[in-house]
Amino acid sequence: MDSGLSFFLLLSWLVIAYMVFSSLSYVILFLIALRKVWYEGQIDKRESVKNLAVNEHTFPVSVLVPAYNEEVGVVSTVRSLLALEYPQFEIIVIDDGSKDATAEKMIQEFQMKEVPFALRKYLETEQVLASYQSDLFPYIRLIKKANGGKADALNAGINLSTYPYFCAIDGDSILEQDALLKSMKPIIDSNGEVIVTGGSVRIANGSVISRSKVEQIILPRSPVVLMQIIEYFRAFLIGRIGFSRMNILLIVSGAFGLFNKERVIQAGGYNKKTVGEDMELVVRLHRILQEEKSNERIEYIPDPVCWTEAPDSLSVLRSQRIRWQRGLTETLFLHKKMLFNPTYRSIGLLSMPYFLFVELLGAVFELAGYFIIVGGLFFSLVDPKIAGIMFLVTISYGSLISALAVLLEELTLGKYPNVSDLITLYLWALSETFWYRPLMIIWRVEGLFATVRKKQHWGDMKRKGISS
Amino acid sequence: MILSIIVYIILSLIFFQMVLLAFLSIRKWRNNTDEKEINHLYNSLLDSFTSYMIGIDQHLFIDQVETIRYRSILVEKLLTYYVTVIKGSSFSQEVNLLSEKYLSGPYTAILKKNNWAKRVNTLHFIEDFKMHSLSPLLLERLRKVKKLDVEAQQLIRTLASLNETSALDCLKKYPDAPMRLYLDSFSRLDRKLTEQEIEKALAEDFIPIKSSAIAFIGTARLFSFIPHVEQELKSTTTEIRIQSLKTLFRLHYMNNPDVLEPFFHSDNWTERMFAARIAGVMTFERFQPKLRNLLSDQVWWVRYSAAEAFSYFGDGELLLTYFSENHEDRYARDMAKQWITLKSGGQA
Repeated sequence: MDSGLSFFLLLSWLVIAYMVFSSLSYVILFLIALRKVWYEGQIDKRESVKNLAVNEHTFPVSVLVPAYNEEVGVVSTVRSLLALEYPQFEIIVIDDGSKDATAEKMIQEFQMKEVPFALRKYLETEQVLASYQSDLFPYIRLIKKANGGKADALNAGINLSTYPYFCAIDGDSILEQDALLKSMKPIIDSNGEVIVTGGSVRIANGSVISRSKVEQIILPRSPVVLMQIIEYFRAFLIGRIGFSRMNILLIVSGAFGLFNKERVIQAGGYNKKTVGEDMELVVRLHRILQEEKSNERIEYIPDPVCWTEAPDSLSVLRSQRIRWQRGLTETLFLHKKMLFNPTYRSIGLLSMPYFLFVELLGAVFELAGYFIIVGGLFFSLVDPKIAGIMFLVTISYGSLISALAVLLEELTLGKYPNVSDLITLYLWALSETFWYRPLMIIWRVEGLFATVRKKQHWGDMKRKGISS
Repeated sequence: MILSIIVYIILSLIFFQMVLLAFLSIRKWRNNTDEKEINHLYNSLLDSFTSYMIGIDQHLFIDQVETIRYRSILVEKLLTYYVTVIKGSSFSQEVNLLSEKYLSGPYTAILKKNNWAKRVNTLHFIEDFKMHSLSPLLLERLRKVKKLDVEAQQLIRTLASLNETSALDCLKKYPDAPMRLYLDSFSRLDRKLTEQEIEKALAEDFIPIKSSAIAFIGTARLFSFIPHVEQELKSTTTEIRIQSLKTLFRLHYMNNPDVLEPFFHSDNWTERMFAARIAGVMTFERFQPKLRNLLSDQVWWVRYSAAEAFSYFGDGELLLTYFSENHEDRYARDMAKQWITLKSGGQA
């Protein structure tokens, strides 16, 4: 019995130390991100990108829209892309063997005709069945291919694309009109040294979006969506900007990322064997850059460039989180060689261990924490004082850090217009530890187990549409 | 003991956040109120501002603006709207007068402040309103620049927009300066100064500026420089040759097509690709046999450009149909087949 108790005591202190360490890492990232986000928030975006909008030397971009069973949203997504402000771009929709009328909707709406295409095989993909070009807008293309998953669809899009940079977006993302300009700016300013840019993704549920423009930012009512907004603040404004400042950012969201095509082809394209193809590609690019001792960088811009529809039901959210956790596990496993390896400098010594211990195994530690709190308070497994310490640390790790992210957003970008929005978000952030975080932890642990069941799929989000 | 320490730490964190929340809420409320008032004042000034700008009433707007709250913000907002909507209005006398009178003071103060974002925004506005009185201050800042960061790059663009050619000279300190910065600077100078600077740049051995000047000739369609560009096709530097080909392609014109001939056999695929593209857009029929050979080039882009080139000729479709059936190379047949149906200009 005594040895059992001392085990729980040891476990308690281990979890407490872990949470204190993780909280500190968030605070450090917060301090690193603060200056960048502060200044970016004050920059006049219209002024800073207006030169690029009319300059014929702005690199042309291929926008890749992988689609699987997207008959509801694909036309409105492509229509929204037509409104992009950019000197030269093409839109390539890749129908990855949809079972619904995704391709037919595209063909009908944009009066597309089948064109033979001498496809380059930079990257191996499932068979491309046909390619189409729009009569109305010749820069809209469609590929019909055999089903091979999102990564395979993106690789086929890369093969067909004609421009030196490509932008991969999700089927139901709405891009801000100047999204490509804002994302291309770091690449141009750095003379091509920046090879990938990611932009902040915002949740569109509740907001009024019309013709690819967010007309009015309104907080949604659903607590599940509100918590995801807070989570996005925490991930994007603290985590990603902080990592990007140190050039050790490992994630560029699948919802929006702008890539140097040549570099991606050299790296072998998207990996079809993982569900976290977006993260895996970025980690692989980092690996190559480090091995080549290259000065090229992967950068993140705090400004929102892309609006996406967040799941508003717990069941869809659960499946999304399991998929994300699985993707993270697979990526870290595939690149385990980089972990703690000084050859990969700060990537191997800082960001990979961070993702392993904080993002991946964090759920296990937190689950143990909740277990100890309940066990300590109700079953005397540990001293109630220890359980109390654990409880307070859990609150600060969960709720207070999220609340800090809400305050950081307001301090720097302040995108939500009303004082009541700020207070609502803050209060919901404080509630995180008590209901939302435990759910996330359980699903993330489920995701760890799901890694062994290797089956690729596109996810099962039911789209309602976010743009009118 | 530890429990108490942790309780105190967490309580202080909560206290800190509450103070910050209160501060941010008050700030947001005040900002929203200010914004509402600024928008109201802006709308109330629009009519008199318009009358001032088109010369109907020179006094009403000035009288109103002299006594109004948020004067510099409002003048900046009105002028920004004006220069955005009316093409070429940056050079208007009224824009210059108003900006010099009401904004030069606040802008001088901002440029000396330690706020990077505000300084960069201000540089954009100085460029938009062509505020020549601030040139000496900007030149002084340029002399102190140690790194060609975003602010330094905008400083150079702003100075170029004020016809300060010394900004271009300063770029020579940075061999890695992006070509875009040279192009942006050339395009901001007035026409006469641009041509002088291009001539100077073409006589230079400094590759970045020379290459940028050749690129700018294509962008700005400076046809008088075509003989210079054709001359540069003989350069020993690959970058200069490729840039010259690109420029001729953009101009859709050249005096002496014979100089193109060696590029169909170049070891460099980019040169072969541009030779094909130029032969296409300028419909040089004499190069059709060369283009036929390039249809089976080992590089996809060269084959693509050669087939596209055929699509510009009067009998292009016929030739492409013939090649799609009879060319000895399978890749050439595929590419020709594609270009029979593919619409060129497949871009936004």
